[in-house]
Amino acid sequence: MADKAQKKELRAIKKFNAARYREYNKTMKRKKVPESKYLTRMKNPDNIIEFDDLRTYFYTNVGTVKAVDGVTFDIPKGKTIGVVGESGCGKSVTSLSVMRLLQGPQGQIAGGQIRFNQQSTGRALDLTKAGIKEMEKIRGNEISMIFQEPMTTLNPVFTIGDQLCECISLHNPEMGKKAVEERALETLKMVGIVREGILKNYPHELSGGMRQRVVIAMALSCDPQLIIADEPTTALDVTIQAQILDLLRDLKDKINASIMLITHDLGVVAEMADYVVVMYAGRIVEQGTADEIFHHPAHPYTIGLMKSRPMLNTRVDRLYSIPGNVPNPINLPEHCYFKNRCESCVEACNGKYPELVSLTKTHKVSCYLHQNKQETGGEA
Amino acid sequence: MKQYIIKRLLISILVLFGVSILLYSIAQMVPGDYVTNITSGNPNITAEMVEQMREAYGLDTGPVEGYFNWLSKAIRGDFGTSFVYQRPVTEIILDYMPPTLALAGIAMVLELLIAIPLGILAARKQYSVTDYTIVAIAIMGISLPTFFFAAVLKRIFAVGLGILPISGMVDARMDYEGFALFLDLARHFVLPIAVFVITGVGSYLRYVRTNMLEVLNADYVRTARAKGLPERKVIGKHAFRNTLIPIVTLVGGMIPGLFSGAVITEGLFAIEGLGNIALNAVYAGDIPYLMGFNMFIAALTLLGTLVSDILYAVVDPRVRY
Repeated sequence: MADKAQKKELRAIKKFNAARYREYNKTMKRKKVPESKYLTRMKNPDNIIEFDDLRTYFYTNVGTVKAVDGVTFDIPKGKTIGVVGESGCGKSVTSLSVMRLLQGPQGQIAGGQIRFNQQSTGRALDLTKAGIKEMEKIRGNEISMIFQEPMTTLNPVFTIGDQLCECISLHNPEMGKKAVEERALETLKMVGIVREGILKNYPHELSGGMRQRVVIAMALSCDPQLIIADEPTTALDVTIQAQILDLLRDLKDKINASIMLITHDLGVVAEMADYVVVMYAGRIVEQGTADEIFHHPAHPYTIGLMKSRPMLNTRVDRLYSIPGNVPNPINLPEHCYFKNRCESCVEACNGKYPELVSLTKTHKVSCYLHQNKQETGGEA
Repeated sequence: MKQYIIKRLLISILVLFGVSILLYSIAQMVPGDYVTNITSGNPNITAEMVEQMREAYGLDTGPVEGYFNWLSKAIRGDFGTSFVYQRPVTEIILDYMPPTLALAGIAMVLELLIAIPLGILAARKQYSVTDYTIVAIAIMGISLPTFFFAAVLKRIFAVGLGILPISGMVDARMDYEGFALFLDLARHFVLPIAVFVITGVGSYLRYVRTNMLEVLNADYVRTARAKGLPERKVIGKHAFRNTLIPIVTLVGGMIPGLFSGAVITEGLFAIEGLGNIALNAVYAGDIPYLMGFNMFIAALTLLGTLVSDILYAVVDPRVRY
């Protein structure tokens, strides 16, 4: 009997998904969308990106995975935002949503807005609704991305020069072949590669650090306004890591871009970020300036993260780790997702998911421990 | 590179020796040799005559001596005289090669021309109606028995509609020349090629589709999209160059197939090609022809792998010899 019910449920999911896929194929794959459909207004003209209640779902055969479920935060111009969280908490999906690079039709943006302040035209675009053609103009040009795995992000069968020049000439069609090549060499110099004949090298002829530099050069080649760095240093060893981070920081100032830095390495965030967003199971649990998050963490999850990083000059027998695992992303509970792993649960935690409350102007947290502190404005 | 090729060729010679021993023992082990086949059931033939004939055909020596006799001549390029045709084996192979080459060659080019674009299309639209349709047709093609499908096609196009000849290579009642002869040949080749392509294209298509799916999920394809490249270029340039790498192996493996031909298809359509003759040689126990033909195919197989290994280096910069 139970088997039958299960089968029925699976069939219902399939039917539901098929409807989503159809809708996706009809609307999201459209090449051109009338401008009125995606033009919006920025809440604050000093922001480069505003996420507004972004929901990105994956419609899988066993149910809907709410990878990103109602995420709201801003990226101001010229600042670095660190997005932190465990694996599978929706950091990367958030960034892929901006670029509209989700693996469709399973993964789709189900709701919310991503408002992009396009400097070149002075318009504000809702990236969740823009047509493919519009996105192609933005990708790699105004918003560029640095991926996690330098070993696999470059195409093995084309030369570095080919892949780098391709990006430059695509977004600057007026440039001649010579100019494009010069520009490519210039960006490579910017990331610290001055090797003779580098443009004729294939990716496999370079080391991991070099490749990541090439990937960064590719991201910078068109002077983007926003660089999304999805764990740019995870695959690299520590010395290279420091170099790459220094590089990113220098470059950010040089071309005055914003950076959305996605990482699970708190050390990297502390070093780089102006603002920090902490995500857990597809939602933001806490956000604030780097100082607030690191020195006055409010959410038990953030506190746990802070405790679980190794510290110099302190002796511990064993590194702290947050007990338990990230909950199954299908059929998430009604209550706070962190409840089962939390050490400071209160009565209210059994209720519905806590609202985001502001502790200060910039510091927000979604936890019942702080629910009544809002009025008093007290600090955690 | 040059050194690598020379090394490979030397190894190939060793392999060919092994292959020849294996082939000769199998050919000898087949029950009923050529003499038994042509004499059995004939009451006028005495045991003495059989002995004499065995001696004449060189079948009286036993497998080991027979093999070395064959080998000593083969090394000098003499593959002996076919029992059935009473002509040198090399001459027969050269004579019957053109129809086989035409049939298999055209069919294979068509197969690649169909399999690659459709495989890519199916992969791009995975789980869509297009994908399911293409894959379903491919599987239908793979599972169609050649002889049955050939019969159906003959029934429809030759008997029913009467627009194509039923079998053979030229119209026996006419005496065409020049372009008219070519047209007549072409008409006779339509059905065999159709059978060849439809039953064979499916496996290549599925191979291309699987590879393309793998490549489409690769990080560098995502990078290409993140650069802002239009989808046409992402697929046509970045993804396609990478699917070419496994496809090259396929092409190398196709080379021997060009000459061995489709034994069954040729037989069904009475096309006088190498495949058809090889089949008859097996029935008759024609050891010299079988040895010559099989060694030829073995050499081509080795050549095919060598060619695909060299092509690897051409399409994949990571491979260097």
